[in-house]
Amino acid sequence: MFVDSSEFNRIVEKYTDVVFRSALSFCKSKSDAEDVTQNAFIKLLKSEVNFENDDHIRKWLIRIVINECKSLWRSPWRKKVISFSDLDYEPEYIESKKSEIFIEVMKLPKKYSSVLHLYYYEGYKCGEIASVLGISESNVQTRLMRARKMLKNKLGEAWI
Amino acid sequence: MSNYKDTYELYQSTFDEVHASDELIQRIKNKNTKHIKKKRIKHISTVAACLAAVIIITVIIDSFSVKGNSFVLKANAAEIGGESFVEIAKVAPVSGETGSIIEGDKRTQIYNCVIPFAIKCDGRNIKSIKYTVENAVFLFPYTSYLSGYREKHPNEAIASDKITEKTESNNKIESYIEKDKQYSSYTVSFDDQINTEFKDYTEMQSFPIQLLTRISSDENISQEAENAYEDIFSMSPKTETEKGKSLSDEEYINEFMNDIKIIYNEMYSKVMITAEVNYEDGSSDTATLRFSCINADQQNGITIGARIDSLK
Repeated sequence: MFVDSSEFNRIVEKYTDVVFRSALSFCKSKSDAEDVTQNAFIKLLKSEVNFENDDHIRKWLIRIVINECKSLWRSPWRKKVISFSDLDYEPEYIESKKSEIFIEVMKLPKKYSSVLHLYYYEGYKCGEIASVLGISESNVQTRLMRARKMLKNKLGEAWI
Repeated sequence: MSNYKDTYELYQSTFDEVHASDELIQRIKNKNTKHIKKKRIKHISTVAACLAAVIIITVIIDSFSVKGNSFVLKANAAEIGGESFVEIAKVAPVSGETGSIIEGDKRTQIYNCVIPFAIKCDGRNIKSIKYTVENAVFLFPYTSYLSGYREKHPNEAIASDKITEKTESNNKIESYIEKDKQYSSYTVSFDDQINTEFKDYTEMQSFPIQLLTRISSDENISQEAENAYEDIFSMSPKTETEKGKSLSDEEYINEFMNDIKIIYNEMYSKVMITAEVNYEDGSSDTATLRFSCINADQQNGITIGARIDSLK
């Protein structure tokens, strides 16, 4: 199916949160994540891809987010800019455990948090992650292992 | 004992509570409206009128342009309009914390405030854009050229000669920073050359820059700001103590934040950023951004807003 103008709003309602979550875990900044999210949907609006189903659209959007973030990371401006705040966004969690997890995941280096998010939230296999990030599968596994170790060190029993 | 079966469930449950703002969702949906209207206009054979798109909070400069030229200014992903101030940044209120530093002594108090300022133009037929700023300075933190200078001059905001950088997409960005007087009034201008692949400019990256402003109590400031400084100096807000009442902690904090709001508003109201957009056909448009401290409270910190003051 093509995402025409009539379908677009439905897709926005369905997937903005999902896209934003991925963008936030990659970008670590709310304003960047919002920019990336918006750009991903603009590309969807302009695309002429014939999607098989909604799940295909979701995966396509996540790939666009990854590409957008890669462009952001490659920019020499981005590499050298530091943020004055460590975190400019945090949901209001009732469970303190989730708040701790969110904060620690967001503090992880991007190369770890991106892999973690694709693996645990989007359900990507290591091979798929390697493909979208342009790295080797063994690299993905190493990053996952290190990310888990870092979270375990920080969170202790809060992280399974 | 964990309430979650496994790590997947724990992680998913955590991130399921992350939500995009309603404003973002509406902004994205508005893109659909713009897209539909663009398609329709393509079918119009001979048109002398401007583009007629509708966006909720943004003033599209189409009405001042000819032949489909247009641009929309954004700061930190917020589209800037001309009617009211749109929130672009939040900062913590006091010394040493996020974005805001207070320095000086009992005689002179200086507030410095840095906010992220990813300024961006989306538009059609744009050839180049030039930004100039008054009573503030753009910061490009930690570029290789500047880091050495910063080490030698840690107390200066920024003062350097012309620097040139290239981005991955081969856009050439030159920034010119001229030091007029110490610290509080730099004039910064830089041109961005658009990658010709991005014909309608909507994919131009934001500039990951920050905006630094400064105000000192010994400068030429309004009476209201002077009073606010005096309140903070004396650590006893005048309004209530003059009436002989003792303030609760909450009342005191509210008074303090009100003084902070006055000072920040004084600081930001002097800042002007002009975006001069040059189009392919040789015409140009100019928009002037003005700023304001929209709100200041203990819970949310200081909220800075921007709007377009004039279109030419």
